[in-house]
Amino acid sequence: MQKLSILMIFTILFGTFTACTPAKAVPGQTPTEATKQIRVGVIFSTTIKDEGYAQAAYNALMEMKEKYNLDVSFQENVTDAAIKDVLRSYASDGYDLIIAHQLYFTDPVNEVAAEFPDTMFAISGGFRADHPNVVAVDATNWEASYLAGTLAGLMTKTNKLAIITASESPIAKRMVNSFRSAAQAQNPNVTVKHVFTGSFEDVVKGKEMATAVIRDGADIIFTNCGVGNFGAIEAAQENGVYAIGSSVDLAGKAPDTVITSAVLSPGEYIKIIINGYMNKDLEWGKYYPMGVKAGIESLAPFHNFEDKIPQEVKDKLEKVRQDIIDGKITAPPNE
Amino acid sequence: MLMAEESHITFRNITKTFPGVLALRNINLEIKHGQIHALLGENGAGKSTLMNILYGLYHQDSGEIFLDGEKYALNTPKNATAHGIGMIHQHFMLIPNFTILENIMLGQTSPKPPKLEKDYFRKEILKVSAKFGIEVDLDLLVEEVSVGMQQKVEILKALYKGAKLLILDEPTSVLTPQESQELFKMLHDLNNKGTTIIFISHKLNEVMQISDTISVLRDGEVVATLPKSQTSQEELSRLMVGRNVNNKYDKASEPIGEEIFRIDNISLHDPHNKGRFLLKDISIQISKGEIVGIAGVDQNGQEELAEIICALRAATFGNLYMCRHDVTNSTTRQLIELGLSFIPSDRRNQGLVMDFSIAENTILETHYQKPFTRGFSLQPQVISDYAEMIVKEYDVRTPSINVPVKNLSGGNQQKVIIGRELSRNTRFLLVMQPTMGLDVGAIEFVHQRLLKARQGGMAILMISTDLEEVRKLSDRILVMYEGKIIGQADSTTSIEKIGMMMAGFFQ
Amino acid sequence: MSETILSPGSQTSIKARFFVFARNNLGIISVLISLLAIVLALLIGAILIAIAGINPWEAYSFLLKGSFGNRYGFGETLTRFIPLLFASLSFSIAYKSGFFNVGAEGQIYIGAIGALLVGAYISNLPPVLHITLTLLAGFVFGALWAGIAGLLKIFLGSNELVNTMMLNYVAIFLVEYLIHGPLKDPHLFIYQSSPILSSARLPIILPKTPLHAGFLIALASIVIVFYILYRTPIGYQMRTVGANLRAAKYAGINIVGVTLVAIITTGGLAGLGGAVELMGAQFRMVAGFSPGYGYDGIGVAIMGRHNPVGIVLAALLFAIIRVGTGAMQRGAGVPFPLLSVIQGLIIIFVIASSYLISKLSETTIGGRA
Repeated sequence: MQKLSILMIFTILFGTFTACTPAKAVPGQTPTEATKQIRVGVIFSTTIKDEGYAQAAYNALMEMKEKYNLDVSFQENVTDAAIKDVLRSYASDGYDLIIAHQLYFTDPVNEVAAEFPDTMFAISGGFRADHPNVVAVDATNWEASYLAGTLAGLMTKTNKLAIITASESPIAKRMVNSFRSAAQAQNPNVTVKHVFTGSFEDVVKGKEMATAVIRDGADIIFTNCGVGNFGAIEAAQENGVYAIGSSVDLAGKAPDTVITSAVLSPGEYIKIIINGYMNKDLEWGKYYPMGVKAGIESLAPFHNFEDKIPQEVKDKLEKVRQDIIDGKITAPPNE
Repeated sequence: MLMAEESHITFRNITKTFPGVLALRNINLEIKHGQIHALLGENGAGKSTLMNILYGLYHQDSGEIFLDGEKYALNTPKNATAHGIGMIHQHFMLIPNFTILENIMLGQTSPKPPKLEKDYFRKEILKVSAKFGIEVDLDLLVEEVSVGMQQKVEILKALYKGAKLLILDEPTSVLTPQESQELFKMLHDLNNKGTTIIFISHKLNEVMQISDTISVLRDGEVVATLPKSQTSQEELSRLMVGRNVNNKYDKASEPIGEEIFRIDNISLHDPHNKGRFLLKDISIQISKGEIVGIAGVDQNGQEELAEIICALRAATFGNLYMCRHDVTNSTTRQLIELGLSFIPSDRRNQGLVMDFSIAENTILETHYQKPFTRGFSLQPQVISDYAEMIVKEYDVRTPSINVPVKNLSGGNQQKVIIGRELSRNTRFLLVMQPTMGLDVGAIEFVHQRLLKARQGGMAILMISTDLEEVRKLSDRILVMYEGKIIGQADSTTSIEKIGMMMAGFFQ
Repeated sequence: MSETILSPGSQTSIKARFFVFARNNLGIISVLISLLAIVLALLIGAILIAIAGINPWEAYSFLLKGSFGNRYGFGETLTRFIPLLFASLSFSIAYKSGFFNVGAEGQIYIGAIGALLVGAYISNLPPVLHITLTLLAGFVFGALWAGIAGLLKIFLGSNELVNTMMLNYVAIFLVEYLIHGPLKDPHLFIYQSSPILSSARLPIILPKTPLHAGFLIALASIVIVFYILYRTPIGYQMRTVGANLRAAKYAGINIVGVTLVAIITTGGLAGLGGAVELMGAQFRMVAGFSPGYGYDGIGVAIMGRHNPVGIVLAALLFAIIRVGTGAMQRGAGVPFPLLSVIQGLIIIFVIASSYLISKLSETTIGGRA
């Protein structure tokens, strides 16, 4: 009896629901004969209110929605374990373009894309495109560092610089090499010390590492270790040396310590992908590392240092920037 | 005692069923003001059910209740309290790690919320306790005080809430004899001060001692309501059981057969005090076709001895022999397979799985053997047939063998255990407190079954604190005192003599 | 079911009438209560959705469309159902045996690691043999992991509830370490293990959906588990130990042995769940491999009242919620935090209602005086 009853609950429940569900017409996606709305699905690994990586992309997405009158959908907080299911759900729902906004989604996207050859996939921040229906748009991960290195090389008094990263991954190595060669191109006497914290989450370690390199004589530190940046900037502030931030403009944290920041603009990924899809000027099946030229990488405004940096330095920096855009400077090695 | 003769509570045509069981049938009963009214009946007769309906824990299917002549329709515990009805349950509703004061004020509205106002309650409670002459120390934790004191707290709590009518459900079942006498004295005092008392019991002597009026319930019906002065223990007993109960058994004296079980010099250290022995040099031989009774006051090593016999505990020294095989190091299961049966003292916790059906409980020890298991699987049909057989053979009153045993009365639960233990190929039966908490009819049934088993050649060791029981059933009586066998007797030995030995006096 | 004994003319309170009705119609009442619980939870959710500025009806239509409305969603729902079922079976069999295992989550991870070792690193086996060995490895690893808490209970008497719970964290971080180090796929940039070989993968049983053969293994497991519990001597002993330890001792049941069997099966079932998820759905170990199936399984078991049909339906409901809420966001744009709230509401209401039902059945059936 008991068993039968529970069974009944479900039948009744499903009965009511399916009976009342509108058959096809779903608001927001009513297809008209002339122009069929393009359907775009975006997948985030965090919430869109993260005031950072996802939020910037979300804002860009909304901008694109207006611009092209897109039918836009997104899903937040998708884990590594769930990503493939979400990709497949979007694909089997008939979405035209599916964007995975997370470097770690590169492998799953390439795997699922093979199952849906008629659907277009894009990985923003991704590093591989294995199939003709996948595109990966990525930062160069060295151009902004090169600009930071140029500025640091021009500004140092002690000829000692330091860079703090979270790991020793190939990407980190490339950043270090980029920063060092840029600084030394301006000032051959400069030495660059590289330290890493081992974590993107460790504020204390960031501060410890920064303090150590400052004791060693560094007067400008380029910090690129996630949350550890806050610790490193604090150390610089306490010891009266300068810092260059990363990812976002960190000047607000210590306006008289942070000269500038090597900024990454993740919203640009989304714009490049959607513009590329609509205007057909992005080639699917390819990997696109993009930097200063595309607006993905840049240096933040100088804010309080606007007047303290000599015009001569600003000019040299601008020339390097132009050289990067013109392709006159080649990518440094990543080991 | 002259008291107002008007009705306090009247039940009219109360009927209550539980699935498959008619618990109360057309009950008509009047409880008069200022009386001590006993509800007497066997377990399962419907006494507690009726009172639970009055207190609002159950609801009658039909019928009405009148309170002081007015219809009392909404029976809920809250409303009962508001109408001056208090109930003391068999199991107390107290929080052990609260003080007595905190327990009594629990659920009362503070005069100045949100403050607790303990001092206010203390004064109020002391007023009530002085009025009724109940002395308690309000600052002790409930877990620190004796069971008798906890019961006083429950009564005081009910009185504090304004009870004019107190229902006590088997109040003496948890008390020592001295505590019982104190309780009776207190109930008399309360009664003299005008409190009506309903006293639920199945013990004839108590009922005769305390009540003014006695109603006898049997199978969910009131069979008689009598003033105490016009009845006798014999009449009540007949009304309760529905027939005469005999007090003597005819025991055919059988020639003592071969030795079945031997306890040889068993000793057991006190685990908390190495210098002390819980059991010391116990030797008992039990032969085919005899009942050996062990008499003694509780807590003199009987429980430990039983556990050692059943291999639930290891002896420090000594050996056990079953049919002349050394079984000292055997497991419980091996002993069971050799022909041991055990009827434990605590049937709810040791003898039965309360949530299991009757059928499942009948195969507790033998479920893995043929024919209950074949190959990998239990055989439901075989088990059902077996359970039906036991239910029929041992007169278990139940709507079905699929009823959980927790829904049976104590007597019927004990019948399930006895049926199970006697339906195996038992050679040696160990019985502890076989009739504790049972009513007269069930006691007689159990005794007859034990005698029948003896007749059939079983060797029986019976441990009981009920001296009458030991005397009635045993061929030989051993008296246990502080872990030792201090004397032998038989059914011809006077009760005084055995009593002296139980108290530790040697001849 | 007994017939109503209420005579038409009798004067009884409405409440008493209700109790009589409830007793005689316990089945229907419990259906209504469960139904009401779900409706109530959805209603509160609807208000919240409306406050967020979204049409609740549209949002809910996506809940069902996403989980049942199309072939892929249907397959995905049944795929999510698989690990939930294993986790709830794991909890139920232990609960019935008096062992409180809240460590299914960790056992899922460790079972999956066992399956990964066999599935990814042993090659050149025919598929049937490879699949069998991989499943076995999942079972054994899960059982060993539960065995840690089990041995602590048996030999030191320490509380298995705390130990199994703590071992969840150990397991999750251990897996995290393994995929960052020894088991990391050298071909990948990101931290994931190598995939299991194709010979160890479970085939898809409903084309164009992710539904894999693990579904059949799960259904077989539920039959086997309840057959063992109710139709075999060892199951009888497990239930006896769970229901009354002392009576089990007095009946000569080997408590340590039975408890060990319970621990092996509870851990093994959770581990098997991990293995099946790895072999049928994910193929690699990743961080967050199980998004809380082990914990959901406890809710499923309680809601299903440790009864096979109840567990299947409860697992299905949890799977629908998991899959459907994703669709609610994709289709109607319901924000993620609100989805979590609605999930929580449904689960709390339904579990609370199942307690209400058991309470009701106790008070109306009652004991005897």
